[in-house]
Amino acid sequence: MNAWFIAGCNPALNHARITSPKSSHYNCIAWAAGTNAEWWWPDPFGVYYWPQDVPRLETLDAFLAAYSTLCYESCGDGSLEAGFEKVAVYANAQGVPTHAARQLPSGRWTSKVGALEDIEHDSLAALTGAAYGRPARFMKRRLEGMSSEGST
Amino acid sequence: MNETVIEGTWEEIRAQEARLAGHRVRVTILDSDSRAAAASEERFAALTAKWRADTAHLSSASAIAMHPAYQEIIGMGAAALPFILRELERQPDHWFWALHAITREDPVRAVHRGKVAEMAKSWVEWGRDRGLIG
Repeated sequence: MNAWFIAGCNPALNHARITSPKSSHYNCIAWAAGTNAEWWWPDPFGVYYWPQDVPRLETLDAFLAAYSTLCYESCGDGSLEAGFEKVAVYANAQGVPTHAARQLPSGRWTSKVGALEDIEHDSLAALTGAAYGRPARFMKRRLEGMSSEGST
Repeated sequence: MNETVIEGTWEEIRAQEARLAGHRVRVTILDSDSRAAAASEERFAALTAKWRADTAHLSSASAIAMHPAYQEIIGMGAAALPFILRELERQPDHWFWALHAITREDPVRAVHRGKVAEMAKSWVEWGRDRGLIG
């Protein structure tokens, strides 16, 4: 990761673990959606992937709608809930989406840092700061094969 | 055989006399067009390095493309196309807005939207078809 990015994040990022090589082929939005096959972004030129029929707008509502196509529903926070996986969408001070992270079964989070590496980090706070802003919205979906009680 | 290319004005080359002493050298006199092209390529390389360093952590395609260095490259216009396309072939990266802005074309198939390697391939083929790159 580059020094500028690290300087713009919480010192808790120091405990993050790099979990992939660098790649410019996918970004955090795609990685949080569970894929490393495309770069997801609602750019106005239509260059990048964005779910069909979801507005190509850089708004939190559009990003929530994008994850809704994968059966995510809005929830209150990023706490670990048995039987569910979560994503958190970060936004800057202007409310523009900047980053997304996906929760792991352990309760830690996985993030793709732009065109750099995937990392595993303890908390959403680890990426809070000048680079990405703060987590602004949370979504969850039932883990495949899990009942509402959290058992298979 | 290992070769090192040193480029600059004759005065700059002469200043490296101590380093070159004892080595066989080949001197190629560049005309003004070649010098201009070399200067453009150097400028492109410097802007690219700055752009990559500053935007590597970003996911926003808009933020990546709005970086001042990227915008300067777009400002180079058609002269930048060979550099962009060669760079795209070497290391697929987010040159697509620049290519679209400069050329007003889009050779990428809809099914490949967001697939960086496929998009890069489409543009490289586009450039090769037009003789912009070898």
